[in-house]
Amino acid sequence: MPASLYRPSTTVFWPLDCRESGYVFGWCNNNQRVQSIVVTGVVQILTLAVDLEVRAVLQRLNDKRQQYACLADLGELKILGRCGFDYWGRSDLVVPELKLVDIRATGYKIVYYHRHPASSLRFYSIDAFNDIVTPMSRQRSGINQDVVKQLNVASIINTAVLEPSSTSSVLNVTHSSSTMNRTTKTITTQMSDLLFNALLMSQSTFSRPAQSICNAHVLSKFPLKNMSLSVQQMDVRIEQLAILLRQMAALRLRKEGGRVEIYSKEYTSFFNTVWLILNDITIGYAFGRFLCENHEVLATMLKEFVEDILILWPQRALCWLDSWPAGLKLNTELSSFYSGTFVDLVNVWGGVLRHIIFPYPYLSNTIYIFGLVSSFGALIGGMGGMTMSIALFYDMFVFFTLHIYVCYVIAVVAFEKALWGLGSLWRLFRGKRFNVLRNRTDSWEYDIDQLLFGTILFTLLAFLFPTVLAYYALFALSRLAMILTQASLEIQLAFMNHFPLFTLVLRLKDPWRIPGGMYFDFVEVIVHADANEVASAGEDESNSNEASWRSRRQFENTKDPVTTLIPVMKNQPVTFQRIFFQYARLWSQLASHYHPFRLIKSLLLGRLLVPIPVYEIRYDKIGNHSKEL
Amino acid sequence: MSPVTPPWEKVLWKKQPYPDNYIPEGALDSSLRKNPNFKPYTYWPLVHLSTAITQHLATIFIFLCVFVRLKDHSLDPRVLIFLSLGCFFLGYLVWEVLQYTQNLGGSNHGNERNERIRLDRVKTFKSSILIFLALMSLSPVLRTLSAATSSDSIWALSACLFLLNILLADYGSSNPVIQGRHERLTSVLSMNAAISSSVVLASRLTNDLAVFALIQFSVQSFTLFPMLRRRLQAFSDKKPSTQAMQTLLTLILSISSFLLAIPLSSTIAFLVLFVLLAVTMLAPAVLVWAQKYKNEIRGPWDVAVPKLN
Repeated sequence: MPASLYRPSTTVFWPLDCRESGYVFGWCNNNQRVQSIVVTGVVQILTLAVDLEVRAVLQRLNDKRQQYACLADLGELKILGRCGFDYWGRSDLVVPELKLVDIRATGYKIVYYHRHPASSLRFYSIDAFNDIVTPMSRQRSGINQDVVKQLNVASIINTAVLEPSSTSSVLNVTHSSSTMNRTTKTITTQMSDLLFNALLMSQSTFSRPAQSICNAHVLSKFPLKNMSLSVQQMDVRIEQLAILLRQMAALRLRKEGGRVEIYSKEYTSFFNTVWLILNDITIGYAFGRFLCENHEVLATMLKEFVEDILILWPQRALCWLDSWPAGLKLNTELSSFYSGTFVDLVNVWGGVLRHIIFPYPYLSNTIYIFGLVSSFGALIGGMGGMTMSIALFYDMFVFFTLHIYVCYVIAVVAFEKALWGLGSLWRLFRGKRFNVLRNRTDSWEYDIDQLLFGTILFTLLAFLFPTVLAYYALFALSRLAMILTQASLEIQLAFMNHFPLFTLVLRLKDPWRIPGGMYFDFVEVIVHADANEVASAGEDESNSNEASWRSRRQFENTKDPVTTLIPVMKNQPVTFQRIFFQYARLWSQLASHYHPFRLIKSLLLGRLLVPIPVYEIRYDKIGNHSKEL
Repeated sequence: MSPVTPPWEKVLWKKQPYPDNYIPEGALDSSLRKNPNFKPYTYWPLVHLSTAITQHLATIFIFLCVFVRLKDHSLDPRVLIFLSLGCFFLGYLVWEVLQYTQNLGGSNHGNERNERIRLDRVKTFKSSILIFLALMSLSPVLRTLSAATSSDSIWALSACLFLLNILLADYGSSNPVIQGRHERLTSVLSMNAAISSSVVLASRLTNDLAVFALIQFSVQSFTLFPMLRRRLQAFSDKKPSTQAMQTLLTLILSISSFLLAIPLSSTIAFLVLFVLLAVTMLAPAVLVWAQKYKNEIRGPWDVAVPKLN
């Protein structure tokens, strides 16, 4: 092991844009092995008065540590020492020569960092979720949560100290100030006020009755939410609006000295939702106009489609099954009974549709109303839009295919009973019985009449089974097609409701606002060699992203410039996997529910096929509470 | 280097001057025994035992002839029903007689046995009524069961199932007096195969009554009659003087099957006769002849067989 492991070392974090000489102030963290000194800024102290003032400001900041959230849990600000810059050569970046007090080790390492201004909403973060950085390397480099917090706050503190008159307002950085001190309000401020009031009003008018609808129960047992997708969508939208309102209130009144990280994250999530809803309303408007203009044509097309595919086709298929389909000889009596029943059922439903729904103008009016809902969604409490129209079409689809569902349920029950009876009687045929206590098949002595009766029934069932199977297969396949359509509509809805659009765009535009870790980049710096200062040579792993840094010094008393590499700390944007992690979970849930093997097994065993329950793919079930990006 | 070494004994608890894996000369040859438990078959007892198979085969042939006649409408179903009812009562009478003689011969347990006998009777009565009603209600369904299947597949299916029945049937005699136990069906699968075969055949008939008659007849001949046969066989085994009854029964069955088959087709009739004779006469002869090839070697490696006298 290199000896530097046991030697205490010091890391100095220096802001990249600071090039003045003067007195250095910041924090000094004494960790176990590494002492990390975070330099917040440099102040020129030329006179004693300035010195006293600076010290007074620092003391005031330290005293009010509990008040300002950004300073909580951090160490004490103090003046650390002096620094001097030597300009040499063409390079912009120079290494300061520091004379620091309280330095533990004989030498120090310098790491540059970017001092992000608070209005840029950039910040550093150690991604706490994927622990790539091992504790060991973190210890050796001296980066931990406190250091990161200090780095984030550096800019604010620097401004606070350099301009002591504006300390209190500087710590109160907001986007749209709502303090009464400002006399002039900007346009953005006025717009945000308007939006806020509009949202507040719509919520108070619409949310109460809508919520009561959403939480209603049919027959006091089945929640309406789980039965209809439109109601579910309404519920989701109301929840989104409520969250928006909360976030907006929090963002407008940015607390004194709040932390940049929290503010940035809430900002991102708030605007993501807002953008999604606006998208929704916009697309919904276009779709709605289309529906409204063509509602009659669409109604006619829909009528024809339903008649042909949903009413006539099953009847034709059933008649085909009844008359020796593909040469399969099904039992004639049972087959005619089955096909008669199902054809009658389909006829009944067809009659209902024809007499109640299809007569002009009910269907076209319904489509017109759908169009209205879709276009003017914003006016009905923000609940309409494209998502609502998708949900309404989903419900309409379910309604129109109700007869197939009923036929399928009948066929599935008959098939399952036949399968179960066949299995049980086959065991009787062999003289065995299923022992429930031991979960296995044992031999068993049956009575003679049981045996006789059982054998006769077994032969009967064995001959009738192909007929049952044929009818079940027909309805099972159509049910499968129905479920796949429903699944695709649901997935579309889920995408429209919760897509991390804002985060993706940020990733392209300004990746540093969504940090998911830190990494070190190297800059070449020309250093003036000096006999006194040394930088410890050693191998260190500060981050898994960098191999090792080497900074060699030559102890020559020549004044030749030496080129060294100094690390600069940069933000690593959050990975795509992180952005979409809820989608990964959603996908895995969908895949496990609609997995082909599972579906086939359900088909063969005669289990009921259901679409995934709607409450399972709601966003908050997937984990909204942690307010992820 | 002792001059006289004691003879080697096959014991482990004595220390002997021989190595552990020592085998004396000729020990292996002398310890091999050929066919030690061999009791050679003799011809006539074998023939007597194989009459059980013959009876079973004859029953099947009778059933098939009855089926063909029903199908040709040359036999009235009502006649068949009455006939089978008569046979049923006759058989039940014989059963009761056998049980009575057994009671006389065996030890007296008095009331307990009477109780059991009464219970058995009630159970039998209940079973027969149940079967009767069930068959009556199911026969319309069974008639149209395989209307769509072609006849050839039905014949093939039926033949396979009867073959299964013959192969798996129990031809031994059951121990008639097991305390507290009713008559046991030792081979359930064969009986079930026979019943399904008859159901499958019955679906070829055109008359509901005919279906009922046929299935009732088959239930009787494949379920109840074997029980009676086994009882008779056990009875005649215990009392050698009544062995003639067994042969008489065999003869009656064989001749009736032959006679029933002749009007239908003389080839088939002679085939039936040939099969029956082969099973009864030829097969035991072959078995006796093949005895001389029996070569069972037992040696010191076998599990010991205790001799119980």
